[in-house]
Parts: sequence; C-alpha cells; structure tokens
Amino acid sequence: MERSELIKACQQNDLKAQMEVYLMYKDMLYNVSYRIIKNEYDAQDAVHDAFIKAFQNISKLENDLNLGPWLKRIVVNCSLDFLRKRKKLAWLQDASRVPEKPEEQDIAETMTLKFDDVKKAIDTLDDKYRIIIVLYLIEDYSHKEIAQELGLKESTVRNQYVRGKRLLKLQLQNSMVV
Amino acid sequence: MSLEKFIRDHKEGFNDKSMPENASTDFENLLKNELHRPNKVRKLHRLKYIGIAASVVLLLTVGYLYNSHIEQLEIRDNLVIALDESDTNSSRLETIYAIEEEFQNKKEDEKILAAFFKILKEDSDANSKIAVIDALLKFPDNASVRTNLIDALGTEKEPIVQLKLIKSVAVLREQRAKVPLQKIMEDKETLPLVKGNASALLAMLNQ
Repeated sequence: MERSELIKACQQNDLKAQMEVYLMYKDMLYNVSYRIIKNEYDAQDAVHDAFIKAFQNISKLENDLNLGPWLKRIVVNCSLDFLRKRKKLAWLQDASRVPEKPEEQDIAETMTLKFDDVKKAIDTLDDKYRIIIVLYLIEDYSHKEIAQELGLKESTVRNQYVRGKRLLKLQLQNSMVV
Repeated sequence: MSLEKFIRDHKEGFNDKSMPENASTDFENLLKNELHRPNKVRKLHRLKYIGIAASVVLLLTVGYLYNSHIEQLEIRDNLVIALDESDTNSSRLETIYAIEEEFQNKKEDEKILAAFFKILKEDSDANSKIAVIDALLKFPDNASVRTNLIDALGTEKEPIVQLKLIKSVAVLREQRAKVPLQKIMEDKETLPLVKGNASALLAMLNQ
C-alpha cells in the first residue's frame, strides 16, 4: 500500500492500515521516547499512547510526507506529558530562575570523540540538561520549539543548553583523562 | 570536529533500541479496544461514564444539601435558645427579627412556632408579642398558628396587643374567634377602643 493510501485508510479507521503504520514507525518513536523518558516500559506506554492519539487525529495531517515528523512530535509531547504526570519535570521551575547570561568559559573542542563515550555522557547528564540537548541536537527542535514544549523562555532554554553542553564536554574530557 | 556536529552526524547511532516483541500484540489489543469497539459498546461505556459522573454529582448535591440542612438546623436551635434566654425586651425583639429574617420564604418550622407561641402565652412585653404575631401571620394556613392566635385573643389583657390580635383574626376570618371576641366585649376592663374593634369584627364574622 502506498503511503497516501495507507494514510487514507487510517483516516477511515482501518485496523490493518493502522497496524502497518505502527510497524513502520514503532522503533523510531520508541527511540525518541526512550531518549526522553529513559525507561523502557514507560517509553513503550508513551509510544502506544502517541499512536492512539495520532490515529484519533490523523484527519488533521495535511501532508502525507509529514507522517514521520508528525508522529515524532506527538511522541515527544506524550513523553514530556508522561514526565509531567510523574512530576519528573519539576526542574523546569528552577530552570526558569537561572540567570539569563551564561558564564563565558569555553572548553577545547579539539578532543577526539568516540560515539559510545558521547552517548554515555549524555545519559549521565541531569534531566534538565539532557532533555534539552536531546531535543535540540538529536530531534532537531529549535530553542523556540523546546521553550514552547517545556513552557520556558527561549533565553532560558539557550542558557540551559549552553550549560548542558559545557557539562557534557567536561565529562568527556574527564573520561579521557581517566 | 565540534561536539554539536559530532552528535548531529552520529544521530542514527542513538536509534539503537527496538520495541519489545510482544509490544505489537499489546498495541493491537489496545487499538481494538480504543478505536474499534462496536458503537453500541462504546455508547454503553460512554453511558456508564455518564452514569458514574451523574452519581458523583448527585452524591455531592445530596451531601451539600444535607450539610446545608444540618447547618440550618444549628442556626435554628441557636436562635430558639437565644430567644428563650433573652432577659431583656430589646434582646428578645432582636432575636424575633433575626429568626424572621433567617427563615423568611421558608416553610414554617415547628420548633420556631412553639417558641413564638410560648411568647404569646407568657407574660412577655407588648412589642415582642406584636412582632411574634406579625411573624406568625406569614403562615395563615397553619392550623396551630390560627388556634394559638385565637387562644391568645381570649387571654391577652394588653390593649395594644388585643388590637393587633383582633386585626389578625380579621385577616384570618376565623369563626372560632367569636367566643373570645364576645368575652373581650363583656369584660369591663377592656378599653372602649378595643371593644369597638372587637364589636366590628364580630359583626363582620356574623355576616
């Protein structure tokens, strides 16, 4: 079935087409959700919730080509909602109180990076930095979009991002020294 | 290479996880349950939720009404006690007005009526008795109100209260008032003004 036909069938609440879409995108969405939630079972729930919401609202999808990014947006929302419900986004209140201007201190970017080290370093970051770095660098959200999702000021998101990136570099440097 | 560029270039490496195998079956069941149940079942479920919501609302309303009723009874009891314990004419009058205000537009309350009847029968001051008669006249269809006003007409000796009672009984057009009216007229100590009013009412009732 071609994508446009598949979407049309989903719009008509066709179970087979819906399962086909699910099988096509489940792993992609699972990775997105897991990067935010960091728990396999919870990420699975968030993905299923996102698919149900998507099929309920698929008539709103204007362009067939946008299906993947559209689903990704929904799963990001569901994952953040999940953390909100579990009160795991409490750091947002502190984040909105941090000084506007980040400290000017740079770290050499000439180190040789290894993917596994970077991934591990991202995973060990505090949620307040990790989620912003993941959304910005991996999910391609702009600072403005992240600010909207998290209900923060864009400048706060930028500051948090800069701090997170600096911490990430520090961790990578330390791991190399060790 | 900058850290940002490195992460962006290796984005695909972050997609290293796969949904557990049994997740598809779970999802299919969830999907069938959420979006593919027959309308009738879904309607029944909707009705079930509406039923639950209605029950909750009903329960809250009943709870609210019950609390409100309890509160009202407490106010009533406090006012009745205050009326009973009033040791000055002004405080008694004040309490009568407070009761009238609190219970205006409400159904007559037996406990309040009993407290009012007690004032009519006792050797209370004229102003309190007049205020009580005004309050009682708001329930002209209540049998005990009518009876107690007629009884008071037969026993009252204070001219101003007698006049008030005669006018009240006139409003009620109570035939049973004829006996006490006759008694007032025959009493040598009754003021001429009171006698005149009693006579006029008796004539009206005899028409």
